[in-house]
Parts: sequence; structure tokens; C-alpha cells
Amino acid sequence: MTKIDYIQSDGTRITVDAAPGDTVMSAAIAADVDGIVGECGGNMMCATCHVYVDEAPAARLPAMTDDEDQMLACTEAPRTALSRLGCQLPTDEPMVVTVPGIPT
Amino acid sequence: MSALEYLSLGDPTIRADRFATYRRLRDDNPIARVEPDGARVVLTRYADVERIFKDPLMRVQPKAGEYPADIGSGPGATFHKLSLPDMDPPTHTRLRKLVSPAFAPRALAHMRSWVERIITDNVEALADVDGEVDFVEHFGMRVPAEIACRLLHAPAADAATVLRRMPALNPVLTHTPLTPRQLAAADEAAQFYFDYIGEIVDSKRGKLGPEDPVGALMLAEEEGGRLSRDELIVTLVGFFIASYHTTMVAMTNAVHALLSHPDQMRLLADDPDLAPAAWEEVLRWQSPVHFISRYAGYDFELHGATITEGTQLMLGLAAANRDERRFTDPDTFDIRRANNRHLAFTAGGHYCIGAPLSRLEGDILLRLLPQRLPAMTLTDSNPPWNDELVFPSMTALKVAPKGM
Ligand code: HEM
Ligand code: FES
Repeated sequence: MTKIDYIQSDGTRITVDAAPGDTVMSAAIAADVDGIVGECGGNMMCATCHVYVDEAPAARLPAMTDDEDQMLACTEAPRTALSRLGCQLPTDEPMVVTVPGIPT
Repeated sequence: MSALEYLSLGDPTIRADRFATYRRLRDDNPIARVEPDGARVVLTRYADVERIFKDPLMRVQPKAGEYPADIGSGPGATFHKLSLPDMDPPTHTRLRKLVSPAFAPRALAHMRSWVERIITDNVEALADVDGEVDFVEHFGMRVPAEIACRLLHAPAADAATVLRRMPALNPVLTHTPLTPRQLAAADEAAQFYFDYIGEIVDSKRGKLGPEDPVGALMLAEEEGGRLSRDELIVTLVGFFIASYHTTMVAMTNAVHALLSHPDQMRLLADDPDLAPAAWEEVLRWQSPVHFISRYAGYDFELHGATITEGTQLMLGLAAANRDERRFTDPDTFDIRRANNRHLAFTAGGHYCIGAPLSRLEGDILLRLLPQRLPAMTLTDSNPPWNDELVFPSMTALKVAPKGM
């Protein structure tokens, strides 16, 4: 079990125990974290798993693929240098991510 | 209906007024057990349906890791085993990853010009019609076939040939029991597709770049032999099958919805940038696919009942998309609806791979329609529908493109 912290736009922090094989997206879905929709189940088609990675062992984050880069152009909340698709981030290491406040 | 009563899917009253039936099920019987033995249940609430789709342990194979015995061992069986809708992880995950570049944003940007040309030409053909015409026959059936043929690099004139074998192939792709005669016909159809699409694939190899969907799949194939020739062929035939009927129905439903809601058509005419939202609302309000199945991957509790491993879950997409627990005024067709995350393409690992292409088509069509055919009217306000449980659709939609 690895601890993943999700910080909501209102500042609430939710700590989730990710199971082996989980991604930042799937751990959030299993724990019902608001704001991470994961509509396409990790197929890199929806960008509804967008997160800002605040704290992570940067060297160990997987490099961004071209497909992830293209999808990050389609996020609802603004893309920043910290933006990643949660479904592309493994949970082998503890991580702190901010969940974008999605305009509804 | 009490929770103990079994639901009969053959009951004609279900189809007579589907949305009233779905509302009753959502309210009174959210896990409706189906006759004769209750081994199938129908789920109709948005939250329940969404949850099942997003749970990676819910599977598409009735028995984990087992193929149906009656698919034999010929070309039909190969089709079944390599078809995305019939696969579970980890084989599904691998193939899906290889196929994903086909409609990634970059490939889609390159498709826009030819998709636009096909839709524009067919709208122009409608604009030339004086009097009445059947939209289903003259647009709904044509445009998706032309787009699918162009996608596969097949001559548009071959569309009928390609489509003719689909009904014979279908039984090996679904989970309906097969007779030996049906299996023989399915094998023959599968062999036809291996030969026909195989020839196209072989003739295009090395000539297409990654911006072409087939090219993208071939390049995925060539990087270390990751997508086999058989997988490529089955995937391309799968595109044809999965796109043809759904797109035809979605386009027909769009025209029907807008023509029967003139206020919404006016909004769209005044602001063409509403086209993408209007397409989403069409998909929510009249979802082309009403049910998709999964099998319970483990025992779980829902609304106080236990659903056991292996139970077939019939997930009501159209019902979930009208759930008042999720959507305000769900029966109202409102193209400006906010937060319209419908389930017409489902969600989770099998989420429709063609959704981006479908959205491109919807954008182009709904931008063009009110501009080029501003006076179009329905000439039959009560069009005929077929009687199918899973894929209900209008069999004709009479319109006057230039108005009455
Ligand atoms: C409005 C049009 C469309 C609708 C409503 C639609 C709907 C669906 C639905 C409900 C599924 C089942 C997903 C599941 O089992 O969870 C699906 C899957 C699929 N669709 Fe679409 N579809 C449309 C257009 C297209 C197009 C244009 C293509 C391709 C060219 C396409 C290709 C596919 C494929 C390959 C799958 C199987 C994905 C998998 O199992 O991993 N669809 N679609
Ligand atoms: S879940 Fe859809 S892109 Fe990550």
C-alpha cells in the first residue's frame, strides 16, 4: 500500500491507500475522490483524470508520452508545468497531487 | 412493480414507452431481475451503471478467461478472440493501447478535411431535393458507410459488399448461442473479411503515415511486431461494425430531435459553436445503444441485494442518461445543458474508441445543418421505430429539406 494525497481546490486533503497496480486515477475512483472522473478508464481519451503533481520523486515519474502530451491539450482546467494525466501515473511511490477545480 | 417480480424483456409494454419503463425501473426496481431464472439483472440508475463500467474487475467474458464453446476454431473464432468488445484485461489492455493512436487528437486533426467533405457533399445533395425525402435512407445510411470506407481505404462502392456479411458475422461476436449452420455462415463471413481487408492492408503497408488511422495502427504493428496482421484486420472490421449503425442512428436522432424542438434549432442556428454541446445532448437524450452487458467479477451488495459472481448485468445507458438523480429535467432536450457527462459511449476500459471521431462528425453536421437547410421540416411527426431492445432506431424519417 502506498499513500497518495489528493488536495481538492477548496484545500481538503484526502489520503488514499493505493493498491498494487493502481494508478493515481484508479486509486481515486476506488476511493470516490471528487473531481477525478476517469471517464475512459485510463485509455488516454478523456483527460478527466487531470492532476497537478505537487510532490513526487520527480526522477521516478514516467516520462510523458506523445499521446499524453496531446491529451493534456484537452483538459478543462488550465494546463501547467505540473499537469499530468492521473491514469498514466503509477502509485509505487507516495505522491501529493492537486485535483483541478473543474468548472461545472 | 415489486422487487420480487421478474422483469420480462420480451414484454411489449417495455418497448411501447421505454422512457416511462426506465423511470419505473429506476424508482421502484433499480436491480431488476430478468426472467426466467434471475441470473440476469437490469441496472438503470446512473450511479450504479457508471460504477460497474469503471470497475476493472467487472468483465465482458461470461466466464473469466473462457471463450464460448460454440464459436468453433475457424476464422469466426479468431474474430471473437481478437475483438476488443469481447476481451478482458490483460489482453484487452494491450490491444487497446496499440489501437489508441487511431483516433488520438493528432490523427483526428488530419481526418477533419475528408470527414467534412463527405458530410458537406451529402448535406448539399439533400439541399437539392424538392419535396419530401427519407433522411435515414438518403443520409443516415450513406454518410457512416462512406466515412467507414474512407477510414479503411476501401472504395465507397464496396460499402454494400462489406455491410452484407455483417449479420452473418455478428453471432460469433455476441454471446448468443450459435447453431452449426450459423457458425458455418459466420466462418465464411470472417474469411471474407480476412481476405478483403487483408488485401487492403497489404497494399497500403509502408505507404501511410501516423496521421492516418490505419497508418497509425500499422506503425504500432511495426514497432517490434506488436500488432499482428490478424489483429489489425479484426480491429478495422470492428471499426466498421461499431461505427456504422451507431452513427446512422445518432445522426438520425439528431435531426429528429432538432426538427421537433424548433427553439433548440434556433439556438443552434444563432450560435453554431453550440454544435458540440448539441451533439452530446442528442447522445444523452436519445442514446443510440440502450444496453451494454458486463458480468459480475465478484459477489457484491447493491441496494440491499447480493449480486453473485458471474451474474449478467444489463446496463441501461439510455435509462441512466435520463436519471433525475444525475441530470436536472432529464426528459428535456436542452442543447445548452451543463455538465453533460452522459454514458452513451459508456465509461471505463471499453469506453468507445470512436468517440472522438463521432464528436468530430457531430460538430461538422450540426454546424452545417441550420446554415444550409434552415427551412427543413419533419413531414411525419411520428416516425416509425423498430422494435429492438438494445438498438432501437427510426426505420424512416421523412423530411422536407427545403421546408413545406
Ligand atoms: C454516435 C456514435 C457511436 C456511439 C453511440 C458508440 C457507442 C459505443 C458503445 C456503447 C460501445 C460499448 C463500450 C463498452 O462495452 O463499454 C462502443 C464501443 C466501441 N466503439 Fe463506439 N460508438 C459510436 C461510434 C463509433 C465509431 C465512429 C467508431 C470507430 C470508427 C467506434 C468504435 C468502437 C469500438 C472499436 C468499440 C469497442 C471498444 C472496446 O471494447 O474496447 N464507435 N461504442
Ligand atoms: S482516464 Fe481518460 S485520459 Fe486518463
